[in-house]
Amino acid sequence: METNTYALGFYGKGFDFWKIQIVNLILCIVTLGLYYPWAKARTLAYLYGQTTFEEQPFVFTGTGREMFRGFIKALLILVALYVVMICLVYTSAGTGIVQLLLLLFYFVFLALVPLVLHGAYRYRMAKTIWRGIRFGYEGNRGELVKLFFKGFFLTIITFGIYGAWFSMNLRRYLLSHVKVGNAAFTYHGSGDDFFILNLKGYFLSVFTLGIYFFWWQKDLFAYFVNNLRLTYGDQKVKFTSSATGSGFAGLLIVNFLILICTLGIGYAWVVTRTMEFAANNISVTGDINFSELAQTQPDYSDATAADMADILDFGFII
Amino acid sequence: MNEYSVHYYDGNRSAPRNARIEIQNGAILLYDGEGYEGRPLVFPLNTCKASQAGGNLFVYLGKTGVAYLEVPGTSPHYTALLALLQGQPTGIDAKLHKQKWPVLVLALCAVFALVYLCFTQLLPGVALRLISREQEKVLGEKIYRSVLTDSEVDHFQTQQLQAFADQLHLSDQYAIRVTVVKNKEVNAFALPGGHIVVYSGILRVMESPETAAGLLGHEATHINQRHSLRGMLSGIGWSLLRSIVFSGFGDMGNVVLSNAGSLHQLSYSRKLEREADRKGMELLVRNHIDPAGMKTLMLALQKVDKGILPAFSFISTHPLTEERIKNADDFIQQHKNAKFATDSSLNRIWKQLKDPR
Repeated sequence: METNTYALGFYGKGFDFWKIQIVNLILCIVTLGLYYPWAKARTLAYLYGQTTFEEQPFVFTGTGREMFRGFIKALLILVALYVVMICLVYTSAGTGIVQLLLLLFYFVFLALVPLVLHGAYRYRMAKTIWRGIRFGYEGNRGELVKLFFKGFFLTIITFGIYGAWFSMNLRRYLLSHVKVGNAAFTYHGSGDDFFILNLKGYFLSVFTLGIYFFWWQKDLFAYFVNNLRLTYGDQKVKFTSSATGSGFAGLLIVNFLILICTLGIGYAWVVTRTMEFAANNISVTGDINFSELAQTQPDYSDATAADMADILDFGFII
Repeated sequence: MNEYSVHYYDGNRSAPRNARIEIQNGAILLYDGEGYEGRPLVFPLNTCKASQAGGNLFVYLGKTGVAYLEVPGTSPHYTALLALLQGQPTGIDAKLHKQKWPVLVLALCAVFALVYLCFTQLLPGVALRLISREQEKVLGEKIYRSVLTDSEVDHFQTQQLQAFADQLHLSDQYAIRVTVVKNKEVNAFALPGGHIVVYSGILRVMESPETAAGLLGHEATHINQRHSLRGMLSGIGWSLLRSIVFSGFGDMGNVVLSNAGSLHQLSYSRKLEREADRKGMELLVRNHIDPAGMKTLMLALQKVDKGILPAFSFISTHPLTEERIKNADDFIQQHKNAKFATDSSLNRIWKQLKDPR
């Protein structure tokens, strides 16, 4: 079978991205933050558009309007939850059920996490396009909720040790349900390896007074990339990290210096340098004929969960 | 004929096709398929978005932006198409994105300045109108108590200086309450609502009842003109802004509280100090006291410059500017023909205060 090497590239320029950030900042201040969804759309559109696979850019088709609508909905849901909680707590003050109610609300907020993850993935993937073919997330909401609660309680019971398995199970579930057209991603990382990798990274970092930290980061990056596959029928593509510890040291130290010396103004360069580093250090090999992909994933424009992830400050978790 | 060949990704399959486009009446006409015949697909230019990456041009078609055209960097029509397809920006944000970076930096600075003014001038100005004199007095009382928690009050001197102040008509709207605090530093400040706190250090520097009247006149003006309240409000505004920038909206209550306590470190703008000097001297004139007392006070403070706390409002335009002394001189000149005679009871209280034996 013929093995091809596919090219991943990032062409973004720190200066261009900085200009986008400045305009976003101006408009966000002037509109008291209401411009934020449009700012996010523009930021993502730029970063996606400058990232190419086989010389074709990724496209983010989400719009500010969608995300604004989602933002309002997310805000209403959160406010409603708070209001219900406060009312119930007030009316039952003095009785023994207050603690029970608070516990219930913690539970509800906790349950929001997998729901938000599910929705945010659906939105983000449906709005990610390559060669005109939509990505998609086909995970099942109930399964993710179950997976999340199981992992969460085991992590608490084991004083955090199960955390490695928890995060790998989540990542495996999320990534293994991502598709691009009719090709499917799979992720093969496991908690065992991830736990040992972190244990080793942590202790060696402590023993070497932090120097090993960069090699730890390299291992984490490699663990993410090397366990990722894309399959299309019986054709496969494999991702391999070529990042080195010294490469990570260069990236992170310079990024840190840029941020410190420019008092944060150089953040745009930090982002573009990091994207470029990632693109240059992932090699893609295999035998998929990427001209055969077909549009199979539906569009999905409800950004409520994606916005709630923003409000609750999740970031985009993988 | 303005016809260009491009690669077309149709949003159904990932394989590109060769296609031909024409640009007519603000729209892209796309001819796809065998021999490029048949009816073209039409995409109005204002619904398309163009971007460059890796030296190639990509034009996303229609509002969904899924299907797109690729113009390779090697195409002979690249520059012509770039100019045609990038189009004119519509909307404020698109126009801003087209600006050069110095313009953007300037715009950002202007926005920052606007926000700064909003928080330190506009919002405090509105708040100033909303706070009634009664509320101001209650607030001032609270601040007074918190300011004095760690200070020792000199009750004798307080009594004397209060008697001195009572002889002057310092305010129509506020009951002026004077407190002397045992402290070697040269300092005095006014709180919203009527309290004036004077350090015993400054009493030692002053040699005549006229200078003391000058000081009280100056500080009373800060109260009468609500400078203290205004200063406090803009201090709160500024801290509020700082806390929003650095730690979001969570800390607001804290900021207001922590600020109210640090009032004795207030400094006013030059304009407000000038106003306090002028109105303070007018107050002296109304009380038949020689306004030269204000100038004497300024000169005395200038002499002991080093011992003065930088937080002392009187010299917050540090160093005590020649301009303010000159203004005082001008004022004195205007009143040089007036007859002044400091009230005998004032003289008597002053003597008591300076030499209690």
